Amino acid sequence: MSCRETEPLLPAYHDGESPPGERAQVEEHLSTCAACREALEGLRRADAAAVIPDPGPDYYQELSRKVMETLAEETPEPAWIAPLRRPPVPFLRWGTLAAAAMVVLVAGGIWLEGKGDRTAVPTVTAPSPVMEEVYLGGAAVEPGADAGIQTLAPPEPPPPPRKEVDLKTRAEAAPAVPAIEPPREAEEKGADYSQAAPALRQVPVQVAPGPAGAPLPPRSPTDTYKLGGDLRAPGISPLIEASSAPAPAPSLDAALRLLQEGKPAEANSLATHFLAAHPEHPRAAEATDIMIRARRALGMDEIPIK
Amino acid sequence: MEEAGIRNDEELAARAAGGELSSFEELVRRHRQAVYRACWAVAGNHADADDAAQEAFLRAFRSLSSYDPNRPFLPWLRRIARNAALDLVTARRPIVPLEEVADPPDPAPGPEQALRERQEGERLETAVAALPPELRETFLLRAAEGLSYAEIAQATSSPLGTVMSRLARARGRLLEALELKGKGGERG
Repeated sequence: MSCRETEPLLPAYHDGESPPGERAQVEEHLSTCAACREALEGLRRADAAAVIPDPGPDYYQELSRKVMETLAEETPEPAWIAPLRRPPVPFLRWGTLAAAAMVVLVAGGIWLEGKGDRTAVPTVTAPSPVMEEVYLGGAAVEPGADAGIQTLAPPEPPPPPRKEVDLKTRAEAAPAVPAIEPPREAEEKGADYSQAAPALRQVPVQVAPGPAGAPLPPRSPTDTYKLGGDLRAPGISPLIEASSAPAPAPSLDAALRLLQEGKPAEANSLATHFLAAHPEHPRAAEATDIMIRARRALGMDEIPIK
Repeated sequence: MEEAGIRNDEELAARAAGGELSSFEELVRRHRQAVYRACWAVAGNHADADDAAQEAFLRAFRSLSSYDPNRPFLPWLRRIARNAALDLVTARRPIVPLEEVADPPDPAPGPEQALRERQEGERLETAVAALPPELRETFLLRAAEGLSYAEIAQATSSPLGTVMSRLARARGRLLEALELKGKGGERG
């Protein structure tokens, strides 16, 4: 191999990512070429700068503490846990409280019975739909309403202004959800595009016809999160996804041909060269795909498909 | 082998999603180092990495309901950490182009090897700090964390080609910094 052929392969060689055959070729060239050995040494020098300082065990304990403290403040306890956490209350006090509650309930009941007004019943908790309607309409409570309603009902929030209806209308008139949500945001929602806009969920189906025009296999909702990052989902060819109108790249075409002819080592080498020389080429994804398939055929590492 | 009674990450995550804070605490304990380092790789300094790591765990907890326990937990958590760090560095300060990073002061000239190495180390540190977050992250995940190209691709949700290209650009910039600011040597 010449220097020109070897140099693009050096990073993968340095990182232990070369296929066995390629590794041997690179080593053979290195044994005779001082310039490429120096280039390899450059990679090692650069990697010497890769240091992440260790903040020490105390820091990590502190990190745990801060995170858990924040979560404890944020996370309300389930209702049934709170009484268990309280210090024990003497039975007499429970009894006193229970007796007092009973007196209030009975007295209130008798009083309501005496008033004979059934409208008091639904006012105890949330406002009824009828009341909501009244509030939305901005009307005051009917003057003739029973005073008992006002005293027994919990303090009502200020009546929602009529704007609420306007807001709803505005929401309906608002533009549709953006077609593509950035992958990062979807990841934060649990790395699951099923949380994203419907338009996003359709992306793989719309832009990625399967190889040879075959229909796509169904993807589970949890698979979709790999969109944009993983081009190796079974049945989906990034070749076709990435380039509906492929840019000219004869060496890439040759790599593909070699792969189809059962020569994965040569195909991998060509594709690697191509990618190293043109990392931003429109068909870079295609080169990656060829590399992956070739490496798979050679029994090398491949990107795990979860 | 896992001892009886010790739960795996995915089971802990499922329990934490049900509101069991102690399970999440165990997850934090297990992965705080990986999360911090993932954040540092993006942020390039302790203060930001610390803030991002805390934010990452909080985001992870809030997102547990959409976590699928059939998938490995750590890669999912790493992605959240990375996003938290990227958000933070994006919000806090603009990226300083490599060319604008000030040269470290020239010490008194001395031919000693040790001095040259120290100078080179300082230059490289400065150059790493000046890398754009995505390049620094890819470089550190490979060279400091020892992740394979495939693992980096998964951690950063990037195609393999992008990983290789970022790695090449990061190393290129670091070497450029060495050569421009050092002896200006040329490679064969």
